[in-house]
Amino acid sequence: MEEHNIDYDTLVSTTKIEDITSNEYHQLLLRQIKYNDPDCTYLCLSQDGDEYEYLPDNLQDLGWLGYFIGKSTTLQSLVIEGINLLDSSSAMELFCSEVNRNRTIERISLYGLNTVQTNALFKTMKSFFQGNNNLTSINFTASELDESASQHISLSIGGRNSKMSLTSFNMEDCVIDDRSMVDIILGLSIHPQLKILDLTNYDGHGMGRNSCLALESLLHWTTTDLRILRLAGNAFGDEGMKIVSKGLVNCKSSDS
Amino acid sequence: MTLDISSNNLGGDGVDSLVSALKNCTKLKRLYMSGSGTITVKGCAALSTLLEISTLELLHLANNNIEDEGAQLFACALEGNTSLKELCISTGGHFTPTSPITDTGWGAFSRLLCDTSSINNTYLSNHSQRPGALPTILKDCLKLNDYTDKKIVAKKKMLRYHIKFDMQPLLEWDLKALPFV
Repeated sequence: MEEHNIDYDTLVSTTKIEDITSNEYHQLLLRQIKYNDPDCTYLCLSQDGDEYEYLPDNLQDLGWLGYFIGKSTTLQSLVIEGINLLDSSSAMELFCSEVNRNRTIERISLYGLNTVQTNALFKTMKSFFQGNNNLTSINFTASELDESASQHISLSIGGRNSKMSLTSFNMEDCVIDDRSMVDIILGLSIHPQLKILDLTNYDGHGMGRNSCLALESLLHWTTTDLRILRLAGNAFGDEGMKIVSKGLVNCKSSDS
Repeated sequence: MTLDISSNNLGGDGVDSLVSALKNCTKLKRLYMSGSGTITVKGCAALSTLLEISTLELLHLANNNIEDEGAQLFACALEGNTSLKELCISTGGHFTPTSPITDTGWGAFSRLLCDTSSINNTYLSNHSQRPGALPTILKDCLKLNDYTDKKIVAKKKMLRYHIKFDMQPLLEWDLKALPFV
């Protein structure tokens, strides 16, 4: 894809912020990120346009935003919503391949992504997830994912050489099937320090028997410091509860 | 630890497994299990034993069609409990008159909220609850118990129900020793 070959490192010295976007508030935000303003620790890519929210005008704008996020050393929290501009996997890859370089973000929230977006994001940002030892919290909510996306997520969060040490993982109300949920729970098995796990799913897409078994094993063998476990709405019934309970037995052995 | 397993279609032996898994869990602080289906009397009996856990602060069992018998079990289990701050067992909204728990069931709680049978019991019974569709007698007690300063609660109740008892020495003795439930 052509956009991927843009060499922002070379272009940055000759590109003015004014050339990237005409929106003055966006110019201000871009400058803050570019020059590592310590006051700018949060950014949200969103359709709404509230404070600290950025809606790129076009792909060029999107690419530069990704580039500056990737280079930032002060940004701590990033929110990516499934905005229209990110609707194609090439746009998502253009943005994410730049964000991928970031190593300071501690919390990432992904909201309302469709299957294509989820796939592209996790496929492109593996090194961000595996190499960022500051990242402790992933909120991945109200999004759609298929089997291939869940495998990308599993690799992203559970890669063998991962430096990330997750303390909070939230997958509330994602459209996911039982089998894909298993992949994701397996990915969490390298994070024994996990404190918050939210697999709430009120849409009836979520945990079935297989993911209950995977969770039992996670609770039994891995998580020793879990403080919050949310499984509401999954409708896994008595059978599921019996399986999960076997893992919960382990929770009493350590203090919080 | 907070555990939320609301709306998971539980009702039968899943509840038993959960209770036996959590029974000795001294980490458990909050358990949300609302809208699980219908929790039977047997289920209530099992769940009420969780009130023996000294760390449990919140138990949400709303919209589980718990009836009088179940309510009485929880009231009974609450008697020895000193940690729980919130218990929810009702079905339907605050303004729904169709609650399966009648005055009989709620009546079991009135003794907990204000036990007038003896001076000592009046003094000790100062649980507070969030009022919902409750009988008036409970609402009054709850209102009385709702002060954060439990000394005032005890004092007010003494004045109301044991008017002849001189509690001055008791209050002077050591206020910190007043029971805080």
